[in-house]
Amino acid sequence: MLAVTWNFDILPDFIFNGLQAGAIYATVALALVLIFKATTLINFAQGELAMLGAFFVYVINIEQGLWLWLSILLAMGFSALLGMAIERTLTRPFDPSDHLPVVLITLGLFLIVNAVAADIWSFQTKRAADAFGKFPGWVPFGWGGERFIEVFGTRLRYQTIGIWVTLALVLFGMGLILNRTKIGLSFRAVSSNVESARLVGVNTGRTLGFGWALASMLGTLGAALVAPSLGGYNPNMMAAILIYALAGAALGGLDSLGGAVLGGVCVGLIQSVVVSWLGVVVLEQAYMSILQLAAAFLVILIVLMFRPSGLFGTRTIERV
Amino acid sequence: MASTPLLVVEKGSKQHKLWQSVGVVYVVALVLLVPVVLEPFEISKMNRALTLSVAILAVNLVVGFNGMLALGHSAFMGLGAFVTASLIQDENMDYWYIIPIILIVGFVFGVILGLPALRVKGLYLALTTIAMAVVFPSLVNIEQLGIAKRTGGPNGKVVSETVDAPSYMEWLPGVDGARGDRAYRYWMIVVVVALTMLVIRNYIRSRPGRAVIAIRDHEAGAAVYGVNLPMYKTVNFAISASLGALAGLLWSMDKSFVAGQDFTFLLAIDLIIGLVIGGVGTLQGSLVGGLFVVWVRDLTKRISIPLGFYDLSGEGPLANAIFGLILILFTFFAPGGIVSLGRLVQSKLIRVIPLRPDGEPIQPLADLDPGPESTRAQVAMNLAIIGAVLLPLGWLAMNIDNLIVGVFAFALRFQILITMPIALIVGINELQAHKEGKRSDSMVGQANVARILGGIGTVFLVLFGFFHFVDQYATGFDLPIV
Repeated sequence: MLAVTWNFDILPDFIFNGLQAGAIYATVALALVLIFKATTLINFAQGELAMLGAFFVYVINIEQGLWLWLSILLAMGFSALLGMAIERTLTRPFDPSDHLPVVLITLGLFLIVNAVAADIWSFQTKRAADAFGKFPGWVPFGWGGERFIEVFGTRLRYQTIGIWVTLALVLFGMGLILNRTKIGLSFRAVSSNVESARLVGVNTGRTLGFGWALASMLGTLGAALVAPSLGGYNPNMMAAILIYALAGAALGGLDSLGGAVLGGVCVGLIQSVVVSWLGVVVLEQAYMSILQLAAAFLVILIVLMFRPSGLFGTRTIERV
Repeated sequence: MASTPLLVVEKGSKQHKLWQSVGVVYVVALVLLVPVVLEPFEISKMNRALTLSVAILAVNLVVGFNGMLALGHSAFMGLGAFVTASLIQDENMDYWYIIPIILIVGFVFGVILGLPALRVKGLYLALTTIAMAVVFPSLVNIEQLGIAKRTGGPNGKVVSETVDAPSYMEWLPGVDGARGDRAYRYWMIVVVVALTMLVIRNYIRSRPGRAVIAIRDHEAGAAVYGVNLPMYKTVNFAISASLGALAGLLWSMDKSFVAGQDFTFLLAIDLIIGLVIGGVGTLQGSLVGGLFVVWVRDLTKRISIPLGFYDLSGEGPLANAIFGLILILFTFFAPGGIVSLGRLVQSKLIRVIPLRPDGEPIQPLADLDPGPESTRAQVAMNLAIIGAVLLPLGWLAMNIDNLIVGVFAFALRFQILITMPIALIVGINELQAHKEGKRSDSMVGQANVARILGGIGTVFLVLFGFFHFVDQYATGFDLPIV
């Protein structure tokens, strides 16, 4: 039988890993859900566009030498423009209720962006500057200048804290934009019912462009933040992350922003805690990365069987 | 009238049968010529294209005919390939016994995976099936249950017993000498593909097939009509899964080596691209799609377009970008795929009038006759002349050593397959109509030119094809024909 030696000592380590990965998945899931809410389409190319944004950061930060956060903001701006351009040219001509053509367009984009990035920057991983390498000097308790703090008997990396703080700020900012601004109001109108919004006078084209721009910015931010832990910038960096983010978005409900965040974090925790910790503890195998994906999707499948629209998604009722 | 096509025939009439038999002759000629004309490595590519055609047909069953976005059939291919390899290598079974086993295994897995997956709708189903495709390569490496030992783990599994041509089969075209084995496998695959298409064609035209299509067109309506939704959806998915597994068997037979990395999500994307570019919801589209994915991919790898400051070269990663671009262009301009483009061209050339139950056409042919001012003869003559001119142009252009020019030269030469027979048939028709008094006299000359040129062209084409085939076929036998 399986030798069960419950080892709770390393559990906090895996929990923190899961939380960090989960925050990244949450960011990308947010981007996916934003586009889904506005257009009822899944953007399969979201990961590749985010990767492109990360490479923008590389070019601005490493090749041109600007400050990292300034580079990230500039790259987010470029991604926003690119996202709006894509929305305008590629997705607007299609009827959103017919899923197949737009799935194909995003798949084609997936191939193109990946290939172009590989052609320009090659498949060699480029070193990434860490946004959250060390605590800044002014942090008290002797934590200044350290990479991590000791808590619960394990190390909590500054990276994890930094990513979470960024995610919280992003969520706060998005809440403000969506609830307090005019364009946010149009976005909520368009995601509720496109036809009615158009009838009331909302400029749906501009709103969709805004949605895509916001999604692209989120994707770029996520990719830029995850790059250090992946070893650097690489054209294939976002492929796996996209899958997990899709799983998280589906888990939380494709049209729920809060669900996206929760789903992303859950997927991160499942991936880390259930598979890695249980794998180490129960089956005593070193690292069962091969089963992480399968476990994540198994959970999604089970959830979807009982709640076909995800945990927080709106239940669709088909009118005949 | 400009809107009538060049030919109007009654369904089932002699002319209609003539038209259809020309198509059949072309297909048969193509099938016969491939193993003798192509190089051995190209025959392997053809085998792979036909294997993918079976897989694309499987995807078509679910996406095209049932309207479900199930995008992960690379997993079923992998399943079939690994089970085949394992059975041959470890259990020493024969390929013929494995075919029914593979079909059953695929069906069972299709039912297991289909039952939960079909409960989710639309895009969620797409996500779930993509997940299947993504997870599969990792599943091959699991060490529990002895799976990794049977699948060869990360290194893949070599099937040491290859399919060789038995000596009594060497009369088949191409099965001789160096490329003999690959050509033999080609013929085996052709037989399987033909049988599969026949079976699926009958399935689609039968009652369960109609139920499946009804589900695609309007699910609620089909349910109201009494169609058992879960059963038909699941059974359809299971049939599609067993077809996918069959494609895996063909893959394993052709390549004699299976590895998990061959069956990734990228293969699933290839299947989808082939499906769409071939034509969603059409049977011929699956065939075209498979051929497209293999051959055009190969073309994109060899393209090199100098664009001034930047050399657009297909070597390296950009081949994928060109492929993606083609996909996007097709989605914009030809969402029905190549088959829809072909049908568009065909609608300009011929219209088939169906018959009423009592045998009369539903629209009398005389109604569609364009009358004395018909331009058909002129069009036919133009076609014949253009065809005759483009052929030597294409021949000359073949000497230019550029890939894009080469593709155009290929098209220029092969257009006579279409233009010449049409000119001939239309010319004959118009002369017949003139004899019946329906046409003015001015077009007699044009019709004659069309008929004679078209006739010469068609005869030339038949003789050329025949002698080319005999020449290549005979070289393997050392016959006195040189």
